[in-house]
Amino acid sequence: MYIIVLGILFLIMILTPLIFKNLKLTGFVTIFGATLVLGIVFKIITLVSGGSPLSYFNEFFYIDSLSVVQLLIIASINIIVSIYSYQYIGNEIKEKIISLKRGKFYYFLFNFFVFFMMFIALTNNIVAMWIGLEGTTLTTAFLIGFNINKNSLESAWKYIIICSIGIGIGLIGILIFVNAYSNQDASEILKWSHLAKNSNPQSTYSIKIAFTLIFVGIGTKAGLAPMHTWLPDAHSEAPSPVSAMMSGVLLNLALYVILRFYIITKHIPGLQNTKWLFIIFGCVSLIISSFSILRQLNYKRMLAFSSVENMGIIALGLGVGSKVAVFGALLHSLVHAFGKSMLFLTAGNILSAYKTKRIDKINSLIKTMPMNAVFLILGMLVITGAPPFPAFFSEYYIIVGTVETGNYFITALYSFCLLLVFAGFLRVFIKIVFNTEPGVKYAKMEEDKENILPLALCFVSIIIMNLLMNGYLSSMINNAVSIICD
Amino acid sequence: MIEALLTIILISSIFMSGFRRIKLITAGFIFQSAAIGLIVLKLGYETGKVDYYILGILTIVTKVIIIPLIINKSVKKLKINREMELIVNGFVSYIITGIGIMIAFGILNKSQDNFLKTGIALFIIGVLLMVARKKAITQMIGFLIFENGIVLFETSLSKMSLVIEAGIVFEGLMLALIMGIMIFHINRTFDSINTDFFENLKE
Repeated sequence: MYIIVLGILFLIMILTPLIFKNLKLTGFVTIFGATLVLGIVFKIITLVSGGSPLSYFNEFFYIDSLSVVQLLIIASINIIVSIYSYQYIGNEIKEKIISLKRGKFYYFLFNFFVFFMMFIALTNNIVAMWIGLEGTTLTTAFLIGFNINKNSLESAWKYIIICSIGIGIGLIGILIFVNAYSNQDASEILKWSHLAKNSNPQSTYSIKIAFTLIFVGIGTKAGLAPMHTWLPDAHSEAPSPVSAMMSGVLLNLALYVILRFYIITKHIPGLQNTKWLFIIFGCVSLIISSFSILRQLNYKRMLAFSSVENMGIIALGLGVGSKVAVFGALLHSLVHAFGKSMLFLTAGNILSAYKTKRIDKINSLIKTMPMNAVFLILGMLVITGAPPFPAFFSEYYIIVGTVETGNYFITALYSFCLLLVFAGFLRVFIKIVFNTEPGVKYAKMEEDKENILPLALCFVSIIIMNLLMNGYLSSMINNAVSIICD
Repeated sequence: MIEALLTIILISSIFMSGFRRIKLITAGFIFQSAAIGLIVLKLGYETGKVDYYILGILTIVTKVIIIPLIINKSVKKLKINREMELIVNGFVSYIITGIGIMIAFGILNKSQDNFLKTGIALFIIGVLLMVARKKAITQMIGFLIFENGIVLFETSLSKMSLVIEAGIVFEGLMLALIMGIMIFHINRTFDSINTDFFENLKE
């Protein structure tokens, strides 16, 4: 029932930009549709909160507490970004950067992109998850190259080549994975819910190979280092709302698909070592990104590297595998979605006012764009994990997890990298916000107030998360943790 | 019959890895895809499953007719003829391809499944073309070879439902189409489809 309503909503949202010529109408339909989707997601959350999963259409769609976390992220970031896009696309058209036709094309691709992400989170079929991921590659390739200039086309080409190889490798892994279960009922082996209960595949060895291929292949899409090379280019060249969506939601979702396979693999006797894939790739991501953050000259690129870092943190938490650490990882994916979207959207506001991505060209933001400056600083505190924001707790839980399992070396490495990232962020943002050059007068810019509402929404959601931490939120995440750990 | 077709696939991919002219590479690709399509149809004939027929017809229609047409048209329109400087030259490419095929058949020498081995060889050759060539259009053909490998893999390994299989093939086609459109944009913006010009994005 809910699935059908969701499907119809997305159909309307995707078709509106193709049928109607009016861009404002399209924007409104997108925002309105996003609101309804969020409402349905809340309804689904209350249905699942008892702990028993829902399934529809002969278990093709399957919603448990783990997918609910992803659904919440997708739906809430979607509405924030649609509100932002309304103003953003309007401005771009007013300044004649893009034509009306391309504005409509943007909405078409954007809604398709969200549709595929929703599909990944809802489906139970492991190959359908792959189809959804491939669909996000198809739609975002054009969104990254949306501005059709040299830089954006270069990054889009890089993205499409690297990600299609990666996701192809992922498909090979999935095929081998399915083949290892070929002794069982053919109509059931593609269902995740069936595989998760079932821990006797034909050959453990081919599961091991398959999971490694899946991890490396889909990990490309999740932006884990050293497969992250497309990410800084793509996220810095895409239009800001798209970067927010990709960084906050899509990376998470790719990791979620890996996690689904990990849950199956984990229960198979003799394959407990697969957790080291998460730990090692997480640590490599942390090291590479934290050192890269220190030497960036472009603020959007820096935020992109911070996404690699946060994916590293989440992967590390999942790999450590004690209940506290997994709780931290899931909480962190929620916080990161909101915090990173907020930062990317603020960066988008700054970019559209200053028309440059270079850090050294922007000074004294607190005088020129005071509101955005405040949100920039708040976003930085959220994402680097300063108390009292929830990212502090999530990162702290992961430290507790590493200590609990006795991985002291990883504890040290992790803390060191977090410190480096904090230093890198402070250096750049304090310079952007407070630095004044002698002899230059800074006047307040008019663009400051234009697109503040979505930023405020992001921040309010983070505060709400903080307030609900001991209540609904933690019980929801605890249900998800029990799926992963038990 | 199937063995002969698999041989055609392997030989065509060896030739493709060393060719410079894009037209010749496309011709090799047509041969390869036709062989794969025929193999899938033959399997359908043997097992009597409708899935195989549909997959085979889809492969032949898209990869033997539509995609080569698009490539040839864009080659004419973009006035490109051949790869000038290769990152890995033809001779070395042949050697790498040979080693790749040897590895694929060596690792799996216990398995009787020739589809799997050929599929893995195609993955290696496809990735080689994507990495070792500079023209965007050759990289696209490399991706398509990779995709062919996936089709072979699929037919040998799994028994999926028709919708899912059609989804996989359809998305491969869409990706090729998107790459094609992007090549046009790249050509218009850079006045070339040489990826050498991709050097703006650095730290």
